[in-house]
Amino acid sequence: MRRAGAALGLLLAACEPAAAAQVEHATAIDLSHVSCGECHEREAREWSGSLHARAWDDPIFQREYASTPSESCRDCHAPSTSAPGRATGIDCATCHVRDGHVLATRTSEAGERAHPMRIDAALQTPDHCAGCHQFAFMDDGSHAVDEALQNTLVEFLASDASRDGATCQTCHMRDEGVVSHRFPGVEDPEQLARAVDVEIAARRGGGRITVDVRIEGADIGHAFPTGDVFRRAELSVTTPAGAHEAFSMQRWLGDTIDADGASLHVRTIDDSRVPPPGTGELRETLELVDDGADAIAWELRLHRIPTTVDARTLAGVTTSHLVARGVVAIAGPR
Amino acid sequence: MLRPLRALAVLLAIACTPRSREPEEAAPVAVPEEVAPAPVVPVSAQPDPTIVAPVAVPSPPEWGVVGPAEIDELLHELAAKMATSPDAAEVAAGLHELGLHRDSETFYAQAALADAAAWQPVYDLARAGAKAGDETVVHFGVRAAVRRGGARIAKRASGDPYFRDYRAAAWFDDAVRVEAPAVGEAAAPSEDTPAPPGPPLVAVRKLGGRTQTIAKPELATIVAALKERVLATPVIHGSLQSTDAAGNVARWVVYEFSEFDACMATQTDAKAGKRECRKKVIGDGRACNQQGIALVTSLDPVTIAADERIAATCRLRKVEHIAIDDYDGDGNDEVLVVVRGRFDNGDSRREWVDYAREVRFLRGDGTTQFVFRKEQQAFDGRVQDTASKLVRPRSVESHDLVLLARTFEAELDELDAELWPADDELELGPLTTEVLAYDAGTDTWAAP
Repeated sequence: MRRAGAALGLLLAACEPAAAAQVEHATAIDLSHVSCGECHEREAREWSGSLHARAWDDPIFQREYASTPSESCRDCHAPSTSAPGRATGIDCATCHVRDGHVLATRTSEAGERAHPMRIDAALQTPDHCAGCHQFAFMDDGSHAVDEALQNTLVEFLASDASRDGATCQTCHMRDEGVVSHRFPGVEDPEQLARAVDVEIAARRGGGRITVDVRIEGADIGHAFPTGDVFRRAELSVTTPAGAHEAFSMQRWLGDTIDADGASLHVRTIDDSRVPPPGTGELRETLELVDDGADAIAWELRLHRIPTTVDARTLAGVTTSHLVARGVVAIAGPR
Repeated sequence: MLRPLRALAVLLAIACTPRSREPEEAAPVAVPEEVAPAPVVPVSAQPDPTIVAPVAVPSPPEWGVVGPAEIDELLHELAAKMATSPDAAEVAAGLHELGLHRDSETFYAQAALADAAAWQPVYDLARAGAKAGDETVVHFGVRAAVRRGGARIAKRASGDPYFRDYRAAAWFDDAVRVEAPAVGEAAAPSEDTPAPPGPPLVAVRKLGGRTQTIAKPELATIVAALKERVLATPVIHGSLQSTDAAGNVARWVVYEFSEFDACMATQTDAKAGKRECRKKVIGDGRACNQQGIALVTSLDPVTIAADERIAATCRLRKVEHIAIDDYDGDGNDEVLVVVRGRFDNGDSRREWVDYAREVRFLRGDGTTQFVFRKEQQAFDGRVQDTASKLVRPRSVESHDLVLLARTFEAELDELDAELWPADDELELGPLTTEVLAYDAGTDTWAAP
């Protein structure tokens, strides 16, 4: 659910009985990550470096929120708070507090002393993530309302990962086998490198260098890239002399007629992303002018937003992430 | 055919001068003596938003007693900003319609001075002042209207929604108190007032014309025929039906269809077709739509006699106007269609946004007689091209068109539906008009 239980009469701060009694009277509304961190130090530290922690402060989000502020943005970027100055992104309470109870997959005596607890197996399921990672476009008159703005859960359910019994948490709450609240994803170079397998072959002929590209999902449970429609990956090939070609992996939007024939709405008309594992692969061919090169360099990057926006208004903010790169010899006689 | 001058016919022969967004210098008696400063809240001590704190309300300004001399002085001051129009009330109404409330104040003031007994011009002046946020103008206008019109006008002003924000003002109750009629209190314009420089403005009027939409069953027939023609189901944005003296029925439809849909209709393999059509019609951006206006002269069989492409960016948002009339006075009817488009490349985050508005006249045979397009582009909500233009028919006994133009600095949402800077608080350049004369020889108007 997108709206996490917010104003809940709870206290996460007390570890010792005396402290618990004190807090019971002091504040019944302190759901801050700071309070959580007093007992859950490791989790709080991991979370503080995550994209979840920066969901509100992230410069890309803040830039867009400034131009089009809406309640629906806050639902997923600052769901636990109501005053803008206090927003802390997707914090502990967003996932762990419902109806005055701390949700957990297991309980403990210390935990029970500190706050009401409830075992909730749903914490380990994709449904717990779906509220903010699977939802449709708003009804703005332009977009089709049945069109997914973020479609990650549907992609996951179609993937081998889902059939193999994995969940979102399997990859995004895993750190060397230990449960982690670092939520590795787009900013984790190792995870990005594991996400897809890239095969590239180059050959020359007819004055051209032909580059065949095959990309398949590997250690990933959804399309690549997933999430926001403005995320896109780009594979580029370059010769030492500077010949350059690239193609984009993204959802392509366009107007199409509604089924009733009465109006046009924006929807996905093509999807050139790497499909989820088990549902296919991406093949593309690029052609360069043969400039006599012996080899081509290739690079796969993931862009969180269009590079044009980055260049104009978000200089200094990391919006592009390297996924993989390499050099391939060009087959065939010169 | 000649058309009589209408009450709504507008603009004039006057000179415009560049205006400042700063408030005009107030009449001496209207200067508030003192306004209490707003309380300063330290940044480090932001209040809890859940706590309702008492609000510090500044003391109302002392308006003192305003008499005929002060009102007269304000009227003269406003009236002198532009050359005097013989049809000042009509000009003012036209400016009001365009959202140019501060400009309309000038001509309501001229009208008020021209007829010192009439309550309507000063009442309208007060309303223009309310729209422009000029409290002094509202105050003096209401006071003058009540003095001229008596109890009936006082009652009207007291309940007028235009003055809702001013009813609590310290002066309002006094201004609507009925005193002895003071007909003739306004003085004649000062003889030594210099004429403002600049070319004269030209009077304009509403777009006008006759309208009748096409019945749904007939539209369905036309849609089917258009679908065959363009290979995609068209969306009908507007329609017009007319019957000439011989009983011939002409049907006009403004339609739009997806280029991607049309491309896909030619594909045999859905998956490969998507890729091919995407590359063909999208490029690096989003697929555009095509728009047109078709003339259908028969329904059985359907005969599309003409089909002109119109252009309102990649996405048509609205047909603002579609009507038929003898706009050029040649004895034959023409169709006038005004469309507006907005295209944000599918990016709800609005990086670059294209806006366009097209005014198109078509002859009875469906060919384009005249087209005027105004395109705007905005980045992050800020309009990049700061010159706005409108086309209107001239309001005198001619069949010319008039191009109104004005420069501005604005956000996109500060422009009205015609992409015209309607907010008086904007930084506005001078308003100008240019006559686009009708040439009977070529059956068109001079290009802007």
